[in-house]
Amino acid sequence: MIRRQQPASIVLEPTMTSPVMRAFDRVLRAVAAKDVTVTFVGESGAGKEVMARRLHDLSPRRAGPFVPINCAAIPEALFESELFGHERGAFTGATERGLGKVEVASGGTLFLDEVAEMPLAAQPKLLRFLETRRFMRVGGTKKLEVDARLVLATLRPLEDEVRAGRFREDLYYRIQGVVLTVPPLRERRRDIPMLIDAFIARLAAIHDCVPPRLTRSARAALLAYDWPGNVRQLRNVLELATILRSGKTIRVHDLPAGLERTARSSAGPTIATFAVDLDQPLNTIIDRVVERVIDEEGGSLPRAARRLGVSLRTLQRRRA
Amino acid sequence: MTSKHRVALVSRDTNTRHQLANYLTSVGFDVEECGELALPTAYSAVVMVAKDDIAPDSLETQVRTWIRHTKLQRVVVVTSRPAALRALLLAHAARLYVLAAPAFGWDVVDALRASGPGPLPRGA
Repeated sequence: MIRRQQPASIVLEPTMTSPVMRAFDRVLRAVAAKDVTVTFVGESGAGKEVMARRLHDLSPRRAGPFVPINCAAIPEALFESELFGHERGAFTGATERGLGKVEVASGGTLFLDEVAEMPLAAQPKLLRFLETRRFMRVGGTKKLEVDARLVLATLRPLEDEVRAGRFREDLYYRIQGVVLTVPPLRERRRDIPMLIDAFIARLAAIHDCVPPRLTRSARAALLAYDWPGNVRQLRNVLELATILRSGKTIRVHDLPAGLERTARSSAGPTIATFAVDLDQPLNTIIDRVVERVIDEEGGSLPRAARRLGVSLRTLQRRRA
Repeated sequence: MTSKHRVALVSRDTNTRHQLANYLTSVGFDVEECGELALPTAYSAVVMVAKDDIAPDSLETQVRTWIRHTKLQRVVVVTSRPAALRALLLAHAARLYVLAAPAFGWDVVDALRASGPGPLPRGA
């Protein structure tokens, strides 16, 4: 059984301890300071909205609002009103003036999630706004001006959507900006232990449970799994386990079948394989092997050193 | 809620308090740190980060006092025991926001800026 330190009550930065996320964060910091449009591309559940929020927090607009809008969740008929607002009497049921997300985001960041799902009919209106930074509320006659930074997220590269005819080419070129790919969870395994501890603490609070502990093998199974649904899937797995095992221990067989199978297959005698590019310098290959083993050991340097057959001090010197 | 409003930040954990105060100041709030606070009359909002060593009854009594005896526009509580504030939350949904710990700093910001009642946490 592993006893972990209680996570802090307030989290000011998302979990980014893996090398790939540290590198991602360096780019995020550099881009955040510049007033450019940013598009996050990444698998479902990889944390695109969290990264968009971090970008906003790191930007000079941090004192302004962060306004998310999920383009896939808004019916086509309501899209214009949701984005640009409406005047009283603009349509049946519009009994009062309503502010749109664009207006609410003034001075801050407008985050268009799943932008590729935006209805084709709504795309010219967004394009017009981006060209002039001016818009009219539905049913309005006055042009309004706002200054909001645009940040987008999409599951698939927008180029593919343009080629498939689902996204306007002129809008694509207008919003292109900087494209950042959010790494999937399987490429940032070293973040998993901290995510596990934070999720269990938070989910136990939400569901009024006593935080359960994980056996070493259950934790290893969570680390070894490929997480096709990424951070969201990890959270969902831990939510059920936290509720069912309140105050007890989460064992491997308390985890969903796929994870249990991973644990079984990784428990037997296996040979860890790793593709090596022989054209790379020896030092680069050694660094990759070292980082891979540290990742597989959930960031634990003593365990990685034991597995590599070197002293902890040697491993620390290698990484210094 | 705008940056003109003064926010009292209450936490017995000095480190947490300093870090959150710096963060809230960086996003435009006028923040004053307090280890404890009896009656926050000079503020428009209070953020309390409750440590686990506070008994649920004491937490509930403290928050009830603030809501009953002040004109605070918003009370935001970050706690690992949101269920302790369930009854209060139902009665004062427009003023009280309860966030399950650990919460992102930006969740606190959103709670301070929100114009309507917050969602009920499932555990509360």
